[in-house]
Amino acid sequence: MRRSARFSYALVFTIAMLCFLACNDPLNGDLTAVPATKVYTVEQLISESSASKTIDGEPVIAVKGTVHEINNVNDRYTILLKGNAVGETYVICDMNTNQINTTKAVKSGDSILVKGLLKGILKDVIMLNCVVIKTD
Amino acid sequence: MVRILAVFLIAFLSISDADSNEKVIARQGKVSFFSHTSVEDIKAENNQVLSVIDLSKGEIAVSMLMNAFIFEKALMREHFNESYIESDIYPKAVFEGVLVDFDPAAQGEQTRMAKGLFTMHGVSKQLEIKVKITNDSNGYVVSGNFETLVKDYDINIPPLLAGNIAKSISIDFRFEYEPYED
Repeated sequence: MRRSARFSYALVFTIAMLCFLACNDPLNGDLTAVPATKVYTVEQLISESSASKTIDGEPVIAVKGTVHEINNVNDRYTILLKGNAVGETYVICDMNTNQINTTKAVKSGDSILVKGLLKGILKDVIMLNCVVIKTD
Repeated sequence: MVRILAVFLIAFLSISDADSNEKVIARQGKVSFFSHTSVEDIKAENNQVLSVIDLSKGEIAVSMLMNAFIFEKALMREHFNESYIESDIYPKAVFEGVLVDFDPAAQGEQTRMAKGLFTMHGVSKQLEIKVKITNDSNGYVVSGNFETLVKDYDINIPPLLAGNIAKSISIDFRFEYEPYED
């Protein structure tokens, strides 16, 4: 086989591998090893998100708060965090699929630290791919 | 006298209860879409869609973050957010309308039309969608599906990828509501 042909095959194979990896997201959204850019309390996060309305990129952040509710709506494990302020605004943490057992162990009223991708705010702040870092 | 007072008290509490339950909210509504072509199927779902119904007026509002759709493949999510929907410029899609002839007191299932303005990618369109409304002890559930054309929302698909994305997209939704106090 000529050197140029071998090079072409190697190039095509490399590109195909890169496409495969990019398409299939090897991390599967698991943020366990990704450091949080900032740690917030629920009140800080709601206040900052409400004020800015738009978020640059999708930062990985950590948020500390009290568990208001754990549910399995739409077959997705979700933790709703509340702050100390009175009001019906929560941080909705859509848990990563590898967090099912950890999420089941969490109870309403627990104080926890959760890391996830900050997506934005509607009535509540929305975070995806969440992982529990610490429970008290 | 005691009986009269009791009747007044019950009547007052009933009125207060009705007032506080005028609005219901779904914080974790689900909207999913599906595109089928011979090249590939693309599906995605958003499980944090917000919806509020004003029961006394029959008004419904739906709002969703476009970057909160979950795709099977990371590359699909990237194309969707960066090239098609441009979620950094148009972060939300919003529907504001009414549930025509909706009776909030009726128990069980009722099929009604939701009429209103849907805004996505900076384009607003009048929509009329058939919805199923269920009212039972767990609260109200609104669900349905409809088809929409990609070209209606000024979404440009590069010619190279035109074969991968259907011209008409199927959209499913389901919202489970709970009482809401402003």
